[in-house]
Amino acid sequence: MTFIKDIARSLIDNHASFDNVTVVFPNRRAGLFLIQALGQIVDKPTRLPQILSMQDFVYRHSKLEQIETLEAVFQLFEVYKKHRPTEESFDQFFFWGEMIIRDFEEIDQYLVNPQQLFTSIKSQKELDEEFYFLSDEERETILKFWSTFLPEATRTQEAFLQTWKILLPVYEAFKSHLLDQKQAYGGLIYREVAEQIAETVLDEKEEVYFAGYNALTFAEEKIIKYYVREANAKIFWDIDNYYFRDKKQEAGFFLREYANDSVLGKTFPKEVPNRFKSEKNFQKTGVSLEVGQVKSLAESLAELAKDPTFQADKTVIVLPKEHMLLPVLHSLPDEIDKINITMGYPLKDTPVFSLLESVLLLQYYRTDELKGAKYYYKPIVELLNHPLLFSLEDERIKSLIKSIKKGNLIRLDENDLTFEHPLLKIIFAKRDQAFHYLKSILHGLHDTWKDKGHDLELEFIENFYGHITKLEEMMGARANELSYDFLIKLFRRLARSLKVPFTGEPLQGLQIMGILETRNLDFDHVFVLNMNEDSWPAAAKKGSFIPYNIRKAFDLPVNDHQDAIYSYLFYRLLQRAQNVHFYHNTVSEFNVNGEVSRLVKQLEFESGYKIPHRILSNPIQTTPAEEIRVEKTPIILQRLSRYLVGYTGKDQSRITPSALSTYLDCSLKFYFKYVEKLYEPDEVQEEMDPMLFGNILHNSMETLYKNFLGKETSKIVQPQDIFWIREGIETVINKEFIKHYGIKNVKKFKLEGRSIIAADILKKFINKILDYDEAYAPFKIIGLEAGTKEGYTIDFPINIDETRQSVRLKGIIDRLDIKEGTVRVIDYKTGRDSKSFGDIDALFSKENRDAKAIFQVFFYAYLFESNSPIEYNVLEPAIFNSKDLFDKKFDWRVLLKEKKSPVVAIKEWRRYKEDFVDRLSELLHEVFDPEISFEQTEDVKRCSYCTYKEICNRL
Amino acid sequence: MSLPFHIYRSSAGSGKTFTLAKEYIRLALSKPHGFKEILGVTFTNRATEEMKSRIVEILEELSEGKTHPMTDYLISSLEIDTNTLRKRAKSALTDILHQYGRFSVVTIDSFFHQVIRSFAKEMGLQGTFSIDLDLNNVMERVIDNMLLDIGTEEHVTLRKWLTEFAENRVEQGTNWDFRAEIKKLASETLKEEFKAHSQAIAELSKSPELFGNIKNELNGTIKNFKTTISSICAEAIALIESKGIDPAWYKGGSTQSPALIFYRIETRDKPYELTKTQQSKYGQPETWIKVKDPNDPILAEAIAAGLGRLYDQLIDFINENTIAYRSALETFRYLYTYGILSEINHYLEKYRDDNDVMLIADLPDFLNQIINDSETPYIYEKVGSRYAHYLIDEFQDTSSFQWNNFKPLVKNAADQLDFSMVVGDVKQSIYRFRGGDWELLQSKVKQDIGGQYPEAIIKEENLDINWRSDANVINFNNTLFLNSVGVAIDFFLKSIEEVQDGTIKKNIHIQIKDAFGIYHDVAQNVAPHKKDKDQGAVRVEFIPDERGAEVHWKEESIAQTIAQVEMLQREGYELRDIAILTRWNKEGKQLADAFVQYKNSSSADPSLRYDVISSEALYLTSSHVVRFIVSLIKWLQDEANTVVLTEWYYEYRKYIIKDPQPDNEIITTFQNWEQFVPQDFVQQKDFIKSLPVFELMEEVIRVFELAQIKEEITYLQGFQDAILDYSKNERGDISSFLEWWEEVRKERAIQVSDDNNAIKILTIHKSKGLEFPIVLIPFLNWSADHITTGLRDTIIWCHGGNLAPYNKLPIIPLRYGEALVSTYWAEYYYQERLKVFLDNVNVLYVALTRAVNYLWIAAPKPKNPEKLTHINDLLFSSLSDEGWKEDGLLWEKGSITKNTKAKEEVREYALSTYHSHFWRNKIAIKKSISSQLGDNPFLEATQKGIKIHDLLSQVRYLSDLESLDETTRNKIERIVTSESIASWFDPQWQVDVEVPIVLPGGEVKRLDRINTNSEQTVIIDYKTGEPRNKDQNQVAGYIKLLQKMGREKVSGRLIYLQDLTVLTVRV
Ligand code: SF4
Repeated sequence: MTFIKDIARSLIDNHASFDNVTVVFPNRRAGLFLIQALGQIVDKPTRLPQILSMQDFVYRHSKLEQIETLEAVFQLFEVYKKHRPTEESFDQFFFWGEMIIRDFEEIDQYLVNPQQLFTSIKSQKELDEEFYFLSDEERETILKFWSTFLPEATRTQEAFLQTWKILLPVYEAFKSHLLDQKQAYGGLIYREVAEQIAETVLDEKEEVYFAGYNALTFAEEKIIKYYVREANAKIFWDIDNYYFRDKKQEAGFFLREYANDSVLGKTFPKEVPNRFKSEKNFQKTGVSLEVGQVKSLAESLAELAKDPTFQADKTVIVLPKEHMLLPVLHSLPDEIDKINITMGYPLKDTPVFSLLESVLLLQYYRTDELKGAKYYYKPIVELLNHPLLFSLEDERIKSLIKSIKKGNLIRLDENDLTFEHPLLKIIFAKRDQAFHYLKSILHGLHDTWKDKGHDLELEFIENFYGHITKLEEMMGARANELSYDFLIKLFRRLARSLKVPFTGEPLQGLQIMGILETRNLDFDHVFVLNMNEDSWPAAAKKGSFIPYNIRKAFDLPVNDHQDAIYSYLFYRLLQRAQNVHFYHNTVSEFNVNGEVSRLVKQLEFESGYKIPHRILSNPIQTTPAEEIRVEKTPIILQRLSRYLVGYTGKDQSRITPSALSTYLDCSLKFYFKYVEKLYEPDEVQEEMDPMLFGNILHNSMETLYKNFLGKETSKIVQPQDIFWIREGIETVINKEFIKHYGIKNVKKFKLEGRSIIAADILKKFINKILDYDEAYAPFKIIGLEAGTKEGYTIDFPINIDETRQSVRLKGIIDRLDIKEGTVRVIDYKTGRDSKSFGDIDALFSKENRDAKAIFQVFFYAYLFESNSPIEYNVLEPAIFNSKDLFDKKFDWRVLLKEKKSPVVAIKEWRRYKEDFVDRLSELLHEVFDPEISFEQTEDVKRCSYCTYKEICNRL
Repeated sequence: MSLPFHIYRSSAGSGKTFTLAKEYIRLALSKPHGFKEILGVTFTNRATEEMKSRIVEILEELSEGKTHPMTDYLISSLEIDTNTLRKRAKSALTDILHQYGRFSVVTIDSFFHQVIRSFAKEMGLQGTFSIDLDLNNVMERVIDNMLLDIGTEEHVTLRKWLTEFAENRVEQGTNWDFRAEIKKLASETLKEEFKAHSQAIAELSKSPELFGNIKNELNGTIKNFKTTISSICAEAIALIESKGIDPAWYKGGSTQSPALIFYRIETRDKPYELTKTQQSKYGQPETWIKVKDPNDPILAEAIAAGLGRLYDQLIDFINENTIAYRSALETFRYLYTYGILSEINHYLEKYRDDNDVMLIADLPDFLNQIINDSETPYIYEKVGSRYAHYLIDEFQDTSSFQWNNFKPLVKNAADQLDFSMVVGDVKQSIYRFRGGDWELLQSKVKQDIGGQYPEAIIKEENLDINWRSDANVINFNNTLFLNSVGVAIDFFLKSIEEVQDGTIKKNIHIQIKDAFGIYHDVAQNVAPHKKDKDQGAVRVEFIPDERGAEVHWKEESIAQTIAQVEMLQREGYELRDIAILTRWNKEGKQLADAFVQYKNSSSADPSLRYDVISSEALYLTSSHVVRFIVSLIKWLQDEANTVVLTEWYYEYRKYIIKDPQPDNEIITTFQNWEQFVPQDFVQQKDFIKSLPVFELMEEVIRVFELAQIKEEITYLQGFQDAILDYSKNERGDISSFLEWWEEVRKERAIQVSDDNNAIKILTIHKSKGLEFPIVLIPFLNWSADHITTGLRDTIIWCHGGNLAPYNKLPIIPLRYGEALVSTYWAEYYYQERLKVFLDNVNVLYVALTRAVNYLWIAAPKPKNPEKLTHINDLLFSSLSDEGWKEDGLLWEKGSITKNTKAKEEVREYALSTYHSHFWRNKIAIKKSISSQLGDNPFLEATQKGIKIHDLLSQVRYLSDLESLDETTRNKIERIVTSESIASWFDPQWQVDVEVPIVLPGGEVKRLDRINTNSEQTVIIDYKTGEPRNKDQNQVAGYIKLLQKMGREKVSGRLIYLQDLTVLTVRV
């Protein structure tokens, strides 16, 4: 027997017809169950009694129209403005406004006299004289508070008083403002009804029942008492001796009070049932965090569902935390196919929400400049990637994303954001009327997605539309004054509480609900998730401006009050249940409570029930990632052959020194990058990566000299020329960035963010290099980037499987110059590269990669020497590296530090040629050797900047 | 007990928690509802929870009349009998359980948070502010915002500072990623040293002129110093050249000749630093010339001509000006950080405002403003709970700011003679880098609370029994640390011998004594139940650390660690009894890898186990399933990215379905991934992609059957928890999720229970507060000083004193390093050096006191132990003489005993199925009314239409119209007064609206309107659309219904609201 069935039975037994019967429950939901229970008893169609929620019942007595909190806040601001102590914008006010409304609601629900409540004390005399109307105990509580303000209030206290003092005038003005328009917030309606209840004309035929109450506000109490006294209304109390008689049980606190009341006392039954102590099975499962609770619950449910006598509708899953709904839905075993949910699908999780948030951010970050609006890249990328938009203009969107990423664009010009699709046109436009903007987007979305089988999305769209329209109406004229900044905050906050209801089987199937919804309902099997402190009982209520002591003295609810309510709900739900299973979290962190609920502890220590406890712990084992080895199978050899002479495919290519350097770093990386060509579209770089730095540095150097030389490519550079070359630095760097970012709108371009700093540093470098050039001049430039895009090439003969083949090599040399017969092969380096090496073997070492830069410059020297375009005497490799550049002892030459011999600066590369070419040949043989696999480097440090580290699991 | 304030010093294993619980219970039982007046303060949330359940459990035992180790204490101090104790315990327990909200054992942070919240309005905060725990993420955003602005006019100075900063980093040849460097610097703004001066710093950076002046002055000092030296050198060189001599002709030759000073002083490795030899040649030119040198005359002549004078002049000048020069140089080095830090601070503030958040690090500072301004009682009254007693745990880790907030409260309590206490162990203070200030416990708390007559208020007590470890372990530590202190004091005293300044020397001298004074109480007694036995064992191995040795000492140590684990298992120990402690996380990973490798090698003993859980392995990212999902999600975001495609595809085939194909076979086919994955995925890809991230994740789990990988279920669960945690607060789209994940992935780990039977590998810092039967420490060789190589700068904040221009700076950030020795801030340097050293000794102390039965240590054999650069130097020098074995590499005491402990009952269970299902076929989202009607929801008219239908149902008679507002009334009036309809609203009818009728079984029909008079009953139904057959049938059904209920002469009408036609229902 459930509580509701008891009521149904009793109603049927006592009434031939329900025409004049009214039943009032605390909420609407219990009514549905009553109807069901009645339906199960009646044998012919029967007119139902009038079934009301308490709220509906109270509102029935009033002509006032209820306004929602949000609207109340808007209206409150109008009143508050006139009283506020300091200039406060609506944005700043809003969140405080909510708190004030909350306080007003309570003051009214509890019929507190605002004049008395909002007294402030300035002197001992006042302190002695005020509050005479309170009981001694209450008076003492409040004096403790106010006495600290004497003899003089501190700064913090002054700050408190400033707001406190205006609350009474605000309250009164606000009240009359509302009543004038025949409006009121909920609490005010209750107050008005309660205060005038004695004047209510009762319908004599009506028989009223109140059912399932526990804690009543004073207004409710007054109204109910009136009906009990004057209309002989009955009350169905849902109670059990376990907590009703036992005074220490806070669950029975309110009920005991009512039982002692002269009016309500009569409505209590003579015999209070002892159901709680009937047979029950308990279990408690501890899980770290939350998802495991759900998965564990699912397993128990699957088990339970196997039982042929299992009745889903006698089973409830209670979710003290709303966010557990989706995890639960996803975990319900397939055996359970009928469910009913008394909660909603969270709108903030929907794609529509993220889209709307992004468009608001788009407008918020917009900057209006003379030349037109500019937009911040982040919301743009979010929008372009958005599942509801992405497919609208596939090609255009893809290319736009690509150019943003490649170009590191931080702010985009409005002209860059042109689209064909009407919806995209609406979104990417300068808009100041937020509501209109949002609504037209929702319109557009609806038009775009209707008839495409996206019913769910359409629902979300419609829901948002409804809410936004309502919000706009509430704000009235203010709607268009709000800043995007505030709107985003407001919108996020609203969306957090918005839910779309489910249609389930309201009365059949497994029930899923929050704590408050369990009121008046009973189930055989009860599963409760998050059975922790702070969720059942729920964490302390939202803030109030009324200090604790004052609340206490005026009988406004404090935390104990809420705890008692939650406690009642707990014991009540258990009293008729047979199997109860708690799941709780075991991890304690800031904001995460790992304490088992006190309610469970109470049960354990007091009830005599044994609660078996188990801990979820799955054996853990990670399989360490295995080494990756890629053998050169025929497919791979085929792919490699694009670097060989004779290959004719479109993707034919040449091996560069950086490819070989990569090979030496890690042959697997070489494979990924140069054989499989795994490609990663560049992210908008959070950092300036070294590659980019390097590119811009040598491109800038190239352009500077190119500009200087103009058409006279064989002009001699004199020391005094450098001065003119320097003039161009700024422009050239800028241009390089523009080129690199692929920016079309050159005129509007301005460096931003990190690029600015990068450019500043590059400037310094270039100046320093030019210092050395100035000292070295006169010299003649013979090649900038080797003159051509193709660079120098060599076809290098090797044997693969005993067949003669040629590997195609190439390289682009940063700069070549000649002075008195000495050719310098110059490379600019921005990395950490070293400029000294032990021997030629060291250049090819896989273990130690310090000589990377030297390997490259030697390779360039080799390319130059083999192509030998001009006459010269000496071939000198040179490295301008950022690390040493500012060192007083800087020398561009490469240093040979052989063991036990003095350090030599290399003047003539050709002395080392033979050794170098031998080793190069060995290396190339290895790269193409079918017997040698591509393998991971042993030095994990190299992995930290490698694109493929996820594949390799080298994190 | 008479003194109201107790300071407990509790060495390792001395029952700190017990002491706290004991005092708590004593106070709670001293009067009814006593517990409400106690505030217990712990350091971590976990400790809070443990303390609370411990108290509840003890009370339960006491209330059942069981004896408990604290029973005697309670009886005697409360002066009650056993019976009363039982009764009081019982009622205290009941009170606590039923007024649990008043059971105040909290962390410092949550207490502060609570107070601040009740003062939010006064502090100008928004009432809704929340605490942002994701510091990393916050700093990222803050720096983003800052960088975004540097292009604008008003931020030129910031730009200059940043460029300077970035250049500095780049010139040091390390990194172009100066963003990361800025982020590192940014963490300084959260330090208390900075916060204490943040106002002044902000002021300063607002006046670039003052700033410029300081810079100029410093620059002046530096230039002046250099040019003077240059000119002396130039004069000397000119002289030498004019005499035609080679400076190397003087005694000492091309390396040591005194005359070379003029050539080298500016360019040597440490420019402007004088060597001892150079100093010794001062004023003694006669020693410059080699005996019987043929060049003697010219050389002597040069000396006489001024070379000697110039030499002395140079030495004098350097000696006199070095400090000024170096101070300027060091200050200059970091000057720009000022500006940057204050800007970061500024942007941080803005971030807080914009996002309505606070950081944990902000709490103490904020509270300080409230506390300083209010009296204690007011704070309580405002918060709603009044405390008379404060019991503070882990006091050595409390920061000064935190203590400043407690101080007035505790002082107030002590003044009222209400009992309070702090407990902690300075020796276990290893969180100085997080702001912990052990000097509070060591001395300051005594001054702060005791004032001038501490003995009248304060009782200090040393908890000197070690309840944890066996005798041999305790005695080992007793001797070791007492010896260490001696060794360290000698070392430090020696190291300050060269300090010139007498006061500094004296101050540091005192500080050295004070600092090591914290170890004076290190010696502990063995617990009574363990006494008189040669229980427990300690073994220390030193491994030769030769350059170019075949096996690196670390590898040798790992091999020995594994051997130890094998030996222990043969002695009957379980893997769960063993913990391996490391100083750094990465060492843990190295060990874990080694164990896995060994396990799979042929050397492994198949009868033994080698399972380890390292903290590293607990990270979610070490799971294949998690990595697969993340890569897959990334790819869904950007399908053109073949790198992530290969990531998930390879992961899937290799580790999820465990495809035995070789790597090349798998990788080369990535373009054809569709052939190798579940077809469901191929088909539903676009649907999945559009889901909110939590749902997306569940679908991926379901479609790819990831729950089949049983051994990774815990990771899967942990990852889902991370997503849930994220989507609780944030929007649910993939790209924001991925962005967030990048920030947090390195921190998110799974939790494992202690019962998991595997060796735990954890850092010493994490081991604090824990105990293990067996502790192995394989790499005991951490540095005893800050690591200053590379870019790992440690900034220390110094005061400028009275010297110009330094006195214009509220506080000066300097880079910690030896260079400071020759600056005005030598004392700061020594002080910090001492503190770091102590930090590292404390780490050693924590590490060595975790073991119950057996402690095993391996370290490289020190080469120069007397230098005390590393902690193994200290260990090596401090071991007691007996215990050393012959080879000087092994030290040993006691022998390991067979484990006989019974296994504890395990309440754990594992999931056999990890449920993940499709739910959308079970339940649907409720259609809004508009789409049920099949109309366009955006037509205003439709929405109005619905409203009208509803309103109409409320109108019984024409007279009801009056209560409606005007616009609605007009609309309704049009309907109810129209010719065809008006008669139904005539008062002659008895009217019932919205009549609910239940059918047997529970189905409910709701009839719009029933008009009744003496002759007939008419059912009226309102419709908004076009007339349809359905409507007729519906009302015909209603007619039957009413007939069944006994009504006679029932008929029906349909009123179509659009054109106001009335149709009679055909029956
Ligand atoms: S992550 Fe490391 S092993 Fe893998 S490819 Fe990159 S460098 Fe080689």
